[in-house]
Amino acid sequence: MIDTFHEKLEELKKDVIDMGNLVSNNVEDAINSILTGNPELARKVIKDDDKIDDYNAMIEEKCMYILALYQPVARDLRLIQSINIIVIYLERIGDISVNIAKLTIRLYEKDKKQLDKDILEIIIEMSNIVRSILDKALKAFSKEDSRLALKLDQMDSSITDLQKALYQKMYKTSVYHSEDYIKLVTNISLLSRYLERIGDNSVNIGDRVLYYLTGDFRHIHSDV
Amino acid sequence: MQNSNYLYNSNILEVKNLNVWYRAFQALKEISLSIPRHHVIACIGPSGCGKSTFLRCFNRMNDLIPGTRISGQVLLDGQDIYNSGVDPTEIRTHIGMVFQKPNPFPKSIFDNVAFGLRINGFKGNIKEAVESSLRRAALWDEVKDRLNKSALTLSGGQQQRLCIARAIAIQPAVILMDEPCSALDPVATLKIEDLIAILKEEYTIVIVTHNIQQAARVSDYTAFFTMADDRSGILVEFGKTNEIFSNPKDKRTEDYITGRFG
Repeated sequence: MIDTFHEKLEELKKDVIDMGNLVSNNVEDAINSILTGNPELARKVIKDDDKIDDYNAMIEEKCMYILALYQPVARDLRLIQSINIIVIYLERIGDISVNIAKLTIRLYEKDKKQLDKDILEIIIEMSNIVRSILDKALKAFSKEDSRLALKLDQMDSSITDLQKALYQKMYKTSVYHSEDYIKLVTNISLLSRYLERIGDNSVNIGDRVLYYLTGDFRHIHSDV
Repeated sequence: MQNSNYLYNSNILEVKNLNVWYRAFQALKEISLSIPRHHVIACIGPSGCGKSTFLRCFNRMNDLIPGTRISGQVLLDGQDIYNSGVDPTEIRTHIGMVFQKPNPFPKSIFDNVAFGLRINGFKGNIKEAVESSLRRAALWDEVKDRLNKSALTLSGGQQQRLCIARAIAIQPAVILMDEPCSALDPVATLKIEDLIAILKEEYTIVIVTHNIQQAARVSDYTAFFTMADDRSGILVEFGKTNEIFSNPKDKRTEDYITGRFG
């Protein structure tokens, strides 16, 4: 009985890692769809999000059964509690990928618009950082690596600077001469906001990994 | 409280460097811990780790086992209960005990509770004292109409609450409970657990249990015992129950409560 309990925990961890991989792939596809102006890829992102939602529900259900049947304590309890919250963040990141995919469809369904090269570069840089934070958060979870999880917050701080730089560029290039341009700029600022949110949610995942590994509640308080 | 003449201290019991031997075998090694007043302390650990031996040190029950030798101190309100002048019977009026299997006397329900009062020369109103004890043990309503029936006609859970009523009748400061629910069904167990929560307002309770979920539910502090390499019992970790069960400091505690050992 005890063995099956620990097997169930391992199985649950594997489910979270699988869900994390799906989310990571969808973030990548969503970003690629907007960078390359590919509405087909965007539609795939929206469709694949259903799988992420299914994982979320399935993992929550498994957590409930484990809590009800085995009353885990200590590290095992922290794992279950952290997983319950991590999958919420993962699900949100999935939803944000869908939002990005919808931007792609809005911007590129009818005709292709050329993004300013400087703006494009900043978005690519933001995307790379955000994806790296997410992947490291997932790796920290799967490898139980608290040192890696501790680094995420620092990585996230550069996102805010990039976002500011992006707005500056847009103010400078924007001459408000056409409806199309205003639409593009609005959507790009939304995109930067979505990328920032993916970063934040990924950092939160890292904090939950830290709590699971150390049992220290301070990791999930905002002022630390 | 009977102990009001003692110097008030937030720790009712203090154990200092306690060692217990059963002939050549050392059952407990170098145990030190303080038990705060009006709290519930749970002792957990694998079979044979000495937690029942530890419990029996508090009312000198180990004295009854031939070949037992004890060193160190057990202070009840600052007084060492192992001092040469101390009468173990006197100690047991301050420290009551409830056992694994309910063990009422083959007497009436009333007499079971009145027994301790009578032999201790109680001068007050015995009827009132019995009713008060039965009420505090959450048994009164179930037995008030049949106080003269034999205690053996009660269910197991009722018998165990009767034993608690019997223990608290003589107003002890501390109640020791050795696996008090292991012979009871879940409903009776829950009643005892609710009762423990109420009793700690007036008493300090030290409970030994194999059921770690029960320890987590009922206690304020948890002591985790295990066996050293020579099989003698050692105290690994003592701390607040919510910390022990969410973030134990010692890996041996973690392994035990998460079922990875024993």
